[in-house]
Amino acid sequence: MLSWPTIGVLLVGTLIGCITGILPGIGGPVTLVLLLPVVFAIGDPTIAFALMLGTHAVQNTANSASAILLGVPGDNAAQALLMDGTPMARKGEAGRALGAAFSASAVGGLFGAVIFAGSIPVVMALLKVFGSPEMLMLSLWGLSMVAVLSGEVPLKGLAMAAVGLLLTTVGLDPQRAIPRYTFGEPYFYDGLTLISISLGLFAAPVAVELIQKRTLFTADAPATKVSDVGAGIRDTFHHWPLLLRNSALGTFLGIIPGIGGSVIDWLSYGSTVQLAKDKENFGKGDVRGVIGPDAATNSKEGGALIPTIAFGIPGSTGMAIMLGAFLGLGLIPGRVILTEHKELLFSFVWILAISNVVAAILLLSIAKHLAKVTLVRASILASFVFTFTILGAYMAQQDAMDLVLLAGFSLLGCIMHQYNWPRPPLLLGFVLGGVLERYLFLSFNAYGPSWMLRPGVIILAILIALSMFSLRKRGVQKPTKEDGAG
Amino acid sequence: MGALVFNIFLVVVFGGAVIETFGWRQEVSMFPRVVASLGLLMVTGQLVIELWNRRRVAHPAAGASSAEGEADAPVRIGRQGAAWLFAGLFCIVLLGVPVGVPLFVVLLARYRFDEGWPLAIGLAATAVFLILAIFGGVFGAMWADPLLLTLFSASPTTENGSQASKVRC
Repeated sequence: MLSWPTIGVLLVGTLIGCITGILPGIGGPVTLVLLLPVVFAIGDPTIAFALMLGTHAVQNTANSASAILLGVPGDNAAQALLMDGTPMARKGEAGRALGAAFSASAVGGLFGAVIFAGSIPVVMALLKVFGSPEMLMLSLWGLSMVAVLSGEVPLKGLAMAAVGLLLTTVGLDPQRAIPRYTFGEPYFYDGLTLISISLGLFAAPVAVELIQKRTLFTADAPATKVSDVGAGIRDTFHHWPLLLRNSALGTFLGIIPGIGGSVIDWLSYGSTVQLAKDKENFGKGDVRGVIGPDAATNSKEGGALIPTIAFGIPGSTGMAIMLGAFLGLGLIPGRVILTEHKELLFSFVWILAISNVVAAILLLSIAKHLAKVTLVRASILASFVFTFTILGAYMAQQDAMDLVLLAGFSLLGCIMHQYNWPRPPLLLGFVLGGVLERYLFLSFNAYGPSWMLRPGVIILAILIALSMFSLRKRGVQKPTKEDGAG
Repeated sequence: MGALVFNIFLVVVFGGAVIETFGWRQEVSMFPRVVASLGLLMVTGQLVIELWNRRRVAHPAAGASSAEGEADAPVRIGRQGAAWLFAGLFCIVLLGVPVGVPLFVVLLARYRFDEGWPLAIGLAATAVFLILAIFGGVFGAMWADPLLLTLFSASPTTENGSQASKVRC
């Protein structure tokens, strides 16, 4: 299932995830986007996802470090660590906090992987009763995640999703091979690439910010000492009911599309405090306030893979990029991937499990030196982000036009960032546009307009309406850095 | 003002996209026409909201609060950062990836980040290694001729005429 070179690539991915996860502002979607060209160049899905999933799975583990040591969360999914992790570091227990965070993350990640493996037969049985119209509705459900990714500007988010959908129509029409929006330029016949769009929208604004500020986000953070990592590991296993409870909570919330990492982080912290008998130390440096959120945020990855793979419903920007990678490698979410690529699915389980264990061991062994990693020079980081952005975009079609396209989308990304137009909906629209058009065409061809009256379609339409209503009512639409909104 | 200009730009884009679909066959135009029409509706709605908010901010007596006026305040992308990025992209299109990227990395490190020459050259060398050894050697990337060379040389064009040739590294 997992052999050489997959294992080697997985270890490289885990290392990349650890480094980029520690660096605030660089982890999450930006890293995944920068990896896309490499993933497409690799071609073999098992090896490609060993890199991508290996990187993505451990970033939650690694980003605890900057939150605990410097009070600067790697992304919003590590914010709750500021409540107890940072105070622990301030009172000289940084090592204990890191030990607890990394070991809880590892257990949470393993828990999520086991649940993911167990869910595959159930989801396969469910998909057997779905036809093109139902798959179209599931794609629409995926698109409804715009409600989550739009933040507090839903109309702008919907408009951006429409831009993304429209961009998928550039090129030759898939049914009749008639050029659409190509302006007579042969370069556009194959359509636009996810890489150019995602790099322009996400990586370019990061590069601009780094070049502008000339310092890292961690530049003003105070230095801290790290020791007694073992005590933190013992704490994690001492509080095993909390560990398992929050791992289960994280996995369950991860399955529900649209619940972002930051929500899970705070919900798990809230439940940790709520269910604790003695609450007086929370907020002052209680190790349980580190174990609970870290277990939950890492276990969610296994859960979040289920709707992404089975129904093509990505609940976050990271999963939307992952979905884009699936499609780019010719893996269609749903029945195709679940029936024709079973080995790949089970390799995901191993990837999740191994990467989490390796990341925990790696991070625990270098815990004493982590504070130095977060203080890497801005010039080095900016150079790497810039170089990988250029190379990533160029690898799309290896044409000078790739760079022109990158410049265009970089400009768009900067303008959108500047004027608060959410970027993730555009990406989601672009990722799902092709699938939507294909299922729409198939549904009309097979059933005519009556496809809308199929019971499955009606049930799914009601579920979409209910989910959108509840998501907005619960207020989970607040944009998060992890989701890359804004 | 910039926000307004961007919004108007989107209205024009969606409007143009809708008009473009009228020249196509029904089955080809259905999806883009629906999407572009919905997009047009949404960006027009957003434009109306934007104009309405501006009017309220301009005339506080009409009921606008300062908080509402600030809700959509721009994030401020640094102009110097953006200028460096786009100058870099232009430099790479002009000189090609293998020359343009290392050159830009040196200039960036030396003159924007005020790093010493050793680090600047080290970063450029890393970029060269990534370009030639990893992306060129391992992934087999072919580097398009730089725009400068295409403009000033009489190289034969390829079938699509967009570039002269590609050099395998």
